[in-house]
Amino acid sequence: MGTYNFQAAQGGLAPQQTATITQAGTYDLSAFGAQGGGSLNGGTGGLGAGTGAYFDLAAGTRLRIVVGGQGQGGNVNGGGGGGGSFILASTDGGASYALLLASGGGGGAASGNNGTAVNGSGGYSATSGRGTGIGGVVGAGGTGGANGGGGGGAGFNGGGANGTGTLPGSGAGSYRTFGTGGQSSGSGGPGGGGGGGNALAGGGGGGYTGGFGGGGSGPGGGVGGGGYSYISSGGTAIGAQTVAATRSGDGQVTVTFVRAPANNPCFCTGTRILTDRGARPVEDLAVGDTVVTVTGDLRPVLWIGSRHYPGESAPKDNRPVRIKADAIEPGVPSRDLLVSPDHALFLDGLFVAAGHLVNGTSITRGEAVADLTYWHVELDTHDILLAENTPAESFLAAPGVRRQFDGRHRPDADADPIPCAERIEQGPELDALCDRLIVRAGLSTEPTRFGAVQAWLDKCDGTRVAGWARDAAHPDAPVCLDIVVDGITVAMTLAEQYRADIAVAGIGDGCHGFDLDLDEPLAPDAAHTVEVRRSSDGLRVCAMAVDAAGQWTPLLAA
Amino acid sequence: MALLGHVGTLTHRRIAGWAWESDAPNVPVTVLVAIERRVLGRCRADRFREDLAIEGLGTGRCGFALDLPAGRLALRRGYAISVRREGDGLHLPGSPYLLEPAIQIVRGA
Repeated sequence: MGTYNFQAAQGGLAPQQTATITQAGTYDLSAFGAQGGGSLNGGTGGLGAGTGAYFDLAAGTRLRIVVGGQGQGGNVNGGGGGGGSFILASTDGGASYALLLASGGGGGAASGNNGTAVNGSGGYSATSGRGTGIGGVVGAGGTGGANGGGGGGAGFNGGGANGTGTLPGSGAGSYRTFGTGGQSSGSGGPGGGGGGGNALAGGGGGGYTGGFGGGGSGPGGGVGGGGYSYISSGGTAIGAQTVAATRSGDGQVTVTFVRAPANNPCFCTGTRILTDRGARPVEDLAVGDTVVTVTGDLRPVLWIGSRHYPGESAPKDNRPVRIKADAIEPGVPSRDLLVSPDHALFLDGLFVAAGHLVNGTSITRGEAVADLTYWHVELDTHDILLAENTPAESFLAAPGVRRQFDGRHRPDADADPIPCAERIEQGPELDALCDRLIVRAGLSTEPTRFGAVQAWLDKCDGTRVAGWARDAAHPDAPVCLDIVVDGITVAMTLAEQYRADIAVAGIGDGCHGFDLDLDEPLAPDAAHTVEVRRSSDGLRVCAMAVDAAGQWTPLLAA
Repeated sequence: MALLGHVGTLTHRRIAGWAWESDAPNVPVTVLVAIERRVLGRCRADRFREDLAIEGLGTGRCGFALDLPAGRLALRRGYAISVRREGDGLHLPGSPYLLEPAIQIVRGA
């Protein structure tokens, strides 16, 4: 849970890297674009922009990371643009990615008018929201002559324009594809893809929107503009970064775990909390009331907060978890208990968020509650209350969390509050608890069972494999089979074809046949084995072997 | 038994979605992705997806994704892609799904 560093892949194109977040929480994401390339006559490339922001990431989030590489020095004169660096995230298992952060690369240096070296422009930082960076600036063109402009930098949201010159920028088109670097004489860096420099002009840096290439036309060329940066609206910018192009050399991306998610234990209106005067609705409690903890201690209420969502304005991810009466054990809860998904309960010796217990039947999540109000009950230290006869935590005042609520504010203590127990997020003990509650709800924890397989291989001649198979545990369903040639699975098929002969033979309804042509026929004059295996467990259900003379013999099953 | 599921991504290179058995909420379903009897792949629907957790489909560990190598399916052809549970062969709701050709050739007159 420290800091993960991602470096540019040396010289490679599209050096995309991935990482999966295993611990939910707030992360410091920082990205630095790469420096642009220098010019042959001594100009230095613009520095890469640095952009950082805090993001709340759920466990299972996949990150895709592109790190910009430094633009190549010009071997004619103009340097390539530096690659931009990017962080993208997917919360749906990798099906789609959204951009969180982009940092522009610096522009390439150029040989300016009369051969004077000109440094490239730096990448432009973002402070918040999209594209507050000023964006690439067109490099000033030289005059006269016949040299082309530099290529525009690649951008996530479109590339920068090529510099104009008497000849078209040779960094055109292909250098402006997101995720690829340039490849001209003064190549742009890989990563976000800086523009290729050309002749005397510098290439633009890569970024959210790529920087513009420098204007060309000798005797001087313009410098490449830096790339734009970007912070998605889900992030909170770190520090004031208005100009600051800071990165020399290759770009860099860091992902640093900052803190666990704010612990936000909330009860819904109507939840009865055990007090010294019996169980009372949470909305009727007042500061100074005495509650009874799970260990039987009497403790005063120090603070009560509430948060109201009019109508159905509660965010979907904060809709309550419903723990139905008797879901845990008889009388626990005594009535349906509604708490926020991250409200921890103390069950079977484990301190676990309600959201981890959802099974869709006795513990459910996702229902819309109109006019939802969440209530928070704080004692002088974090402890376990009895809510609807169920052990559930009191409010834990993580710094800043209290301000999200409507209740009267009480200053946070200087020190971080100490939780009364360590939360469990995963592992065999949590699985055992979930399974116990699933069985209690009348549901199953049994994996799919498979039975003995009846099978026959009718046809196996080196080009085609045909037969039938039937699983005793699923007599009316098709078995999934691997066709394995010389130890290598070459095809998978469902044994589901109707065959009159096996129907007559009483093999179910006869829909158990398979018949397929091999994509690659077996090489003649060599020995081979052809096996049919059940895909689920590799059980060999039938097999044949052929020797070099072409003689087929059946092999024993399993 | 109630097999629930959905295919949200259906292309010639990727078939992804979720599958969940409400009567065995913590047992991952294994799905078979097939064109008629030819099975393209087999995968366990046990990937965590926050959106599914929020919907209350168990704890959200029921996503799957099958990536196919380029050329496995011809881009100019359409296919009926079935997604079924291994074991009883039950189709996910709506399966087979129609995958339209990704390249349409239009000839001028």
